[in-house]
Amino acid sequence: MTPSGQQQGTHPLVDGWFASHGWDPFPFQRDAWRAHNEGRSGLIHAPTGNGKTLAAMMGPLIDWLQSAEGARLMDSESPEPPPLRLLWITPMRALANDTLESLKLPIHEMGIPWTAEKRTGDTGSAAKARQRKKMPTLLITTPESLTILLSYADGPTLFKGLRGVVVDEWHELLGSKRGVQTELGLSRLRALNPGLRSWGLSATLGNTEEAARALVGVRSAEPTLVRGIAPKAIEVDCVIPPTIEKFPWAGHIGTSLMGQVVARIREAGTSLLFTNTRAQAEIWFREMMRRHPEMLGRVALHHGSLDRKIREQVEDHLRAHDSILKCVVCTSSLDLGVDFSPVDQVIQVGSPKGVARLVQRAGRSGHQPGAVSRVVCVPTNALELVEFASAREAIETKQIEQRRPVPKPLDVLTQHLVTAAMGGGFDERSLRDEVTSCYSYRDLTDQEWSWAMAFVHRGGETLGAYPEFARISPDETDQSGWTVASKKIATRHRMAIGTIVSDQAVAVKYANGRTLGSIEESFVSRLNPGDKFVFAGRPLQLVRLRQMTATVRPAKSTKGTIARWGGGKMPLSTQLADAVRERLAHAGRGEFGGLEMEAVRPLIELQASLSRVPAADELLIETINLRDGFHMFVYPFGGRLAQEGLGAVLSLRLSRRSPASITAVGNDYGIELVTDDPIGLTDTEWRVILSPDNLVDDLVDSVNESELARRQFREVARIAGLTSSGYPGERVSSRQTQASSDMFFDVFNEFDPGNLLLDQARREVMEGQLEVQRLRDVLDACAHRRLVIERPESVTPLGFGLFAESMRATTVSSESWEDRIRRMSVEFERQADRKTDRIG
Amino acid sequence: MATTAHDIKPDAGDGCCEFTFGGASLTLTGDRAVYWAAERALLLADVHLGKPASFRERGAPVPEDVTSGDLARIDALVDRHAPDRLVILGDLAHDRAAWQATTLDAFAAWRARHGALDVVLVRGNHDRWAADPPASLGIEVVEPGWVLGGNADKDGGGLAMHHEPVSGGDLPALCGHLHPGVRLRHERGRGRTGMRSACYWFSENLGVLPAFGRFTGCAMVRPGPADRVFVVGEGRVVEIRGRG
Repeated sequence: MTPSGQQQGTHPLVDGWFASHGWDPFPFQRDAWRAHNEGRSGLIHAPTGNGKTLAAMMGPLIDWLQSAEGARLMDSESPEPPPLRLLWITPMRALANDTLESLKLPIHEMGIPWTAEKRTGDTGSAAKARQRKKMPTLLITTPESLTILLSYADGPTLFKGLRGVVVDEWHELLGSKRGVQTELGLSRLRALNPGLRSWGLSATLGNTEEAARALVGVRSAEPTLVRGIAPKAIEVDCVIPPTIEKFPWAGHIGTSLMGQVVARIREAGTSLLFTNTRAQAEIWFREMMRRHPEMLGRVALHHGSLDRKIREQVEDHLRAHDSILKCVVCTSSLDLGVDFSPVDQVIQVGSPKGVARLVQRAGRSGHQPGAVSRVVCVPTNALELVEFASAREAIETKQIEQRRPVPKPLDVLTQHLVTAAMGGGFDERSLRDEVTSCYSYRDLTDQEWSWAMAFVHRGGETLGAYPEFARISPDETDQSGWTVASKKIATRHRMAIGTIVSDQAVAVKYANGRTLGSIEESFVSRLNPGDKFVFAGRPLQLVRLRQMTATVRPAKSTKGTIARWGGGKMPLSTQLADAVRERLAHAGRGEFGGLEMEAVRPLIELQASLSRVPAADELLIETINLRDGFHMFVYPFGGRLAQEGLGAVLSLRLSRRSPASITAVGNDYGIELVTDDPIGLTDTEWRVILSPDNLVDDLVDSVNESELARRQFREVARIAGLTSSGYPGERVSSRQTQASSDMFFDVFNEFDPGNLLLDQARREVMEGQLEVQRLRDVLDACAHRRLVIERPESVTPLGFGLFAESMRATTVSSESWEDRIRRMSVEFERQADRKTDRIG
Repeated sequence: MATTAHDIKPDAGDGCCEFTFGGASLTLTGDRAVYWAAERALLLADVHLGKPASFRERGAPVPEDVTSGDLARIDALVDRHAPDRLVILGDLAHDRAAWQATTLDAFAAWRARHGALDVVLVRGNHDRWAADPPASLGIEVVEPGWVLGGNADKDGGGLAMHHEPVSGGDLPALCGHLHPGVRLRHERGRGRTGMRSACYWFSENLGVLPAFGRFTGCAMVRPGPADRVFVVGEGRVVEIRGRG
C-alpha cells in the first residue's frame, strides 16, 4: 500500500538524495521507478551512457521505503537489516566490485539499513558460508553463482521474500547459453516468489522487445520498455592513410598508421585502443613501445589472457582521476561495464565487424549522459574505410544488430534438471512449467522433455543400456519428487555448473615463479621448447611445458618465427555487410561523400575500370584465367562464416557438374573458387549453382560436418556434465578432457545414435559455425539480384583479399577416409634430442 | 619426414599393414590389434574393462554396449586370424568394476566362447588396482618383460611384452599404456579441420599399440624423426608421413 500523500514512483528521501548531489532525476529514471512501483517488470535500454544503474536501483528502494517493513525500520533506532530483498546479476565478476560500491553509496547516504554484499567465484568460503546463514538485503552475483546457490538443498529457502531481480548488461548474456542459464535461474526465483519483478539493463538492440520478453519469461505480463538517454552524438572519425593500397590484403596489421595514431593519443587525455584479437593487441603494444619508447610506462596492455592482478592494476589506473596512463591497448576485455570516467577517447583498430559493437566501444568514452561519444577508427586495410563509413551511416539510421536468444539447448536443460533436483528436489510437472515459461524453452516438445529427464535419470532413453546409472532419481523416502542421492554426483555437479567452456588455460610463468597470465593450451602445446612468441607485451621463449604451466624466459631477439595465437574469426554482421554493399553501390554511381569514401576513390575507380562495382540489385561474378589456375570470384556480401560454408557448397556443386579439384575461400565480402582448368558457366548454370535448393544437404556433404560436430560436442559434453575440466586435486589437461568428449561422441554415435546431445552439437555447427540461416538468406537474396559476369584481366581490388587468402584454402573432396589420410601429415618432433614424451 | 615404404605392403584389401619389427613379421590390423602369424598370437593392449560401469556410477552416462562391443571385436579378430594365444599388453581391467556384476558376467561369457584360447595378461598399472581376474577365467597373469617368440637357446630373437614403455632392454619390446594418437593436418594450407586419430607408433626398439577399448581415448604423442606411425580408423590402417 502506498501511504497517502506520497507520489507514485518516488520518495522524498530519494528526491532529497538526488538534490544533495545537485542532480535531477532524468525522466526515464522516473519512468522506470514508476513502472517498478506498479509491480511491472521490463527492460531499461540505451545505446550507451549512464543513469541506467540508478534507474534500476531506485525502484526497489522506493518500493521498500513505502512498504510496512521500510516504514518500521526507517523509524527504528537500531534497525535490524532486512533479509534478502534484491538480487543484482552481473555478467562479469570483475564488475561486481564496482557495482557494489556504486549501489552502496545511495543506500548509505540515505541512511537505509540495508546490507549489500557480493557473491562471485572470488568470494571466500567463510563469507559464502556466512551468507548462506544470513543473506544480505542486496546480493550482487553472477549467473553461475546464482545457479550454485539454487543447487543447495536449502537454496530455495534463501530466496524466499525476494522482491526484485536486476540483470545488468543483459545484452551480453542474451545471445549465449549463459543467457539461457540466467533465464532458467529467473524461472526458479519466480516460482518461489510469484510477485517477483525482474528488470534488465541493456544496450539498445535490433530486437529490444524480444530481449525484454526473454528476461521476464513468456507467462508474465507484457514487459515495460524504458528507453534511456542516447548520447548527444556518436562521432565516428577515421584515420585516413596517406597512401591507399589499391590491393587491400585482409589480415594486414596496419601498424603503418602508428604515427598518426600516437599523435591522436597525445592530443587526448586518456585513450582506450581496441583491437579485434589478443594477438593484434600484443603487436600494437609492442610496436608502440618500440617506436615511441618515450611513452613507456604511460601505455598499458589489457586482454583476457593476462594475469588478473595485472589487469586489475590497469583498471585501477584507468579509474584514477590523476592517472598517468595515456593509453590502454585492449580487446573486448574492456568492452563491458566499469565506468572509466577519465577515458576521453576510444580508438578502434581494424574492422568494427558490427554496428552495435562499435557503438558500445564508442560509449566507453564520454560516459556522462548526454556527452558526445567519439571513436577514432584505424583501418588495417583500405576497404575497412568503407566499413567505417558504412557503420557511421548505420548508427545514424539506427540499423543495430539483433542478439537472438539460444533456442532450447538441451545440455543447459540437463544441467538445470540436476541443479533443481539437488536444490530441494522437484516435481516433474511443476518444473516443466517453470522451464517452458522461459523464452528459450517456450516450444520445448514432449519428446525433448522426456529425453532430458531420461538422460539424467537412466543415462538415455534405451532402458537397460545404462545399468547402475542415476544422476537423479525419485526420492524413495517421502515422495518429494526427484532428487540427487549420491553426494559424489552432487559435489561434481556443483563444481561443473556453468556454460562457459573455454580452451583449457596454461599458466605462463618465469622460472622464478612470476606469473604473466594464461594462454590456450591448444596454442602452446604446438610450440617446441625454444620457440618464440609475444605475450604480455614481451617477446618470450618457451623453456618447457609441464603440468599446465608454460615456463618461459625473455627472448633475446625476435628474429625467426614468432608464433601467433587467438582467433578473431568474427564475421561482419548482416547489418554492416548490407550497409557496405549499399555504400559501394553508391560509389559505383560516382557518389562518394565523406573523407573515407574519397580516400578509397582510386581503389573503387580501379575496380570499375578492371571489372565493375556492383549496384544494389546486382550480384557480381568475376572469372579470371591466371597461370596457376582458373579463378572465380562471387560477391554476395554475406559475412565470413556463411560464405566459407557457401564456398564449400559451390565447390561441391561444381565438382558434381564436372569432376575437378576445387579450392574455395570465403571472406566477409565474397568467395573465391579455383580450378585447374577454365569452367565456362552460363547465367542459367550459375543460377543453378547458386540455388538455395538442397542447401542443407549439400552443406553437410561438402564440409567435414562430423569433424566439426565432434569439436562442438566438447562444449555440449562439458555443459551436460559428461566431462569435466578438472576438479581440485585431479587436474585433467584439456587434451584428456578432449579425449573423453571424443570418446562420448564415438560411443553415442555407435551405441546410442538417438542421443539428442549429438543432434544439438550438429545443430550448433550448422547454425553457429556455418550460419546456415544466414547462408539461406544470402542465396535467397542473390536469387533476386541480376547476375553480372565480368572477365577482368587481373585480380581486382575487391578480390585481392580472397586471392591472398587462398593459401589457407579448404579443398572439397568426396574421397574415402584412407585417401584423405594419405593427403594428411603429422607433425613430427623437430629436435631428435628432445627428451619429453619420447619413447625409448 | 619422407619414409620409404619398402617394408610395408597393404594387405589385399582388408585394411591391414604388414610391418617387420625386431625381425618379427607383424600384421597391424585396422581393429587396434596386432597379429603375429609366426607365433599364432593376437596381441592387444588397454581394453579397460569396467570403465563404462565405473563412469556410470560417477554420473557419466556411458552405454553398457561399449563392453559387449569390445568383446565382439575380439571375437571377430579371433575368428579371422584363428590364433592359439591372446596376449594382452596390460590394462585388461580399468578398475574393480571390471570384476563386478554386469561387466564380469559379460567377460566370463566371452571367455566361455573361447575356451581353447590361451590368454596371457601382462600386468598393467590398472590391473594392479583392479586386482587379477578371477582364477575361474583361466587367464595367465605375467609380469612385464615376458618374452614371446624367438629361441631362448640361441640368445633371444623374440619380443619382450610390456605394458609401460621401456628403454634399453635386450630385446625389442611391444607395449601399450600410452593410448597413442596423433593430430593430423592437411598438407596444403590450413584446412578448416584437422583430425585426431589413434595410431601404432614404432621407434627402433619399441612398438606402442593403440588402446583397444572403445571408451579409452587418445593421448597425443610427438614421434621422433625416425619413427614410424600407422593411424587406425574406420577399420583400416594407413602409414602416415611426417612433417618435421
